[in-house]
Amino acid sequence: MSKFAKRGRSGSGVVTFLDVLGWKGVYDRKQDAIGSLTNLIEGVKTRADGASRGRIVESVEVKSISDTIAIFTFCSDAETVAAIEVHGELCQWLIPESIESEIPVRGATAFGNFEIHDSIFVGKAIDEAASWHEQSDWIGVHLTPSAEYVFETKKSNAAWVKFRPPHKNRLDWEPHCVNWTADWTNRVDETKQIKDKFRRLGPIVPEIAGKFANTLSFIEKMAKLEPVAK
Amino acid sequence: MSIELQENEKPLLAEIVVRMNKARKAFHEGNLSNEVAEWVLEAGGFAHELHMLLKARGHEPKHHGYMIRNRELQPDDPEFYMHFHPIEDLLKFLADEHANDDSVDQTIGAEFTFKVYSSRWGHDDTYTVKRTQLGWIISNIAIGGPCDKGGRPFLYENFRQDSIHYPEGLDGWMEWLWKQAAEEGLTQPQVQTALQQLADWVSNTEKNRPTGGIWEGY
Repeated sequence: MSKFAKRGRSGSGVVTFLDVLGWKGVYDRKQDAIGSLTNLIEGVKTRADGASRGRIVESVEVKSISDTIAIFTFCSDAETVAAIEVHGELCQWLIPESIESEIPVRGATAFGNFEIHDSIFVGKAIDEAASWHEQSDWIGVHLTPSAEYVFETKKSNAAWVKFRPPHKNRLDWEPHCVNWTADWTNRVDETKQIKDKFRRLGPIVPEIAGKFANTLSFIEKMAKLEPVAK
Repeated sequence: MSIELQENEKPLLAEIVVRMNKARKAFHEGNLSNEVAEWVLEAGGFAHELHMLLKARGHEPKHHGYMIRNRELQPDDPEFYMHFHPIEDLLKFLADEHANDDSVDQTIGAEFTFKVYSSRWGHDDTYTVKRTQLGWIISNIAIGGPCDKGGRPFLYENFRQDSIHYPEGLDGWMEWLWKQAAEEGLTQPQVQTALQQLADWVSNTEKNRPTGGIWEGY
């Protein structure tokens, strides 16, 4: 249950942190990177109501600091799964859009207590999302342990699917990850467009190549999950 | 335009409003207690009753597509209103029957023209532009094909082929237009006008490039 604290808002809920891959150096690489990032943030804000209303009473909040996008939703215990699904659906839009805008993102979604006051965030869920979101070696979003332990879905079209996200410290676990290719109607064309985008993000130096390769592996795995090609 | 309620419907609205006002105040204070949930469920019961009365006389309340998707129920299902938001939207509908209308993407598959000036040929060239799920299909005489939302690559390959100078960042404007067409449900004439504005911007850039004098032969 959430409540107003003396300064800011506190309670339990779902937190997603995302950051832009290769933000350092983006000034030389891309014109109007700030405009592109602002469009992404505004896009998530615009979609938040449509994803959450009728499922969660509290509003989804979207904040940003430099290249980090933070999505927060306070929720009751009964709404936890729905709140995680909502974050997954927002990331389903955000990830391909970030690639399209040439500022690809990676992130992590956590569950737990936290407190927000303006642009100051504190709490277990914040610490967990913050510590995980820069660890993955791909373009994508996965659940952290706290969210994974409470999440279950029976939906066949769920935003989250089990996958082993590539991690810098080679963790051997398989949490739920956002399936941002779920609505692809032509996987061949969509994959080609993603590769074209990756090419434009070049030069593809080895540390970047690994992230791209891991992302393309994820796309291939998602294609195999779908028994009937759309 | 607001919906005029009949005498037997007005008391239902009053019951809903009382409970919704209490619940809204409680939510604002961060109170998600069982008591508040009970107010919402009671209001939901009255909302369903009002919905069915309005439906019976041909004024069934409309809801956003996302609300029906999120509730996983049709609006005439008794459980549909067992949540704060659909009741809130019912009240909005009663105040304005178009409050919950969704915008529709109307221009997937529609064809447009993009008339741009070419100094090389000394006249306007008209490209054909078709809006697709993934972006655009842009074609002109020999160069064309599927492009992303920014018009890449064929819009710019056509420009390069005819040495047409174009403004920096045009791809971003093309992308913005594609998304506005999807999200705001722009009509065919609205998209056509916007595309031609971009084409005119290109033509102006092309026509205003420096010529003559020391630029002769560049």
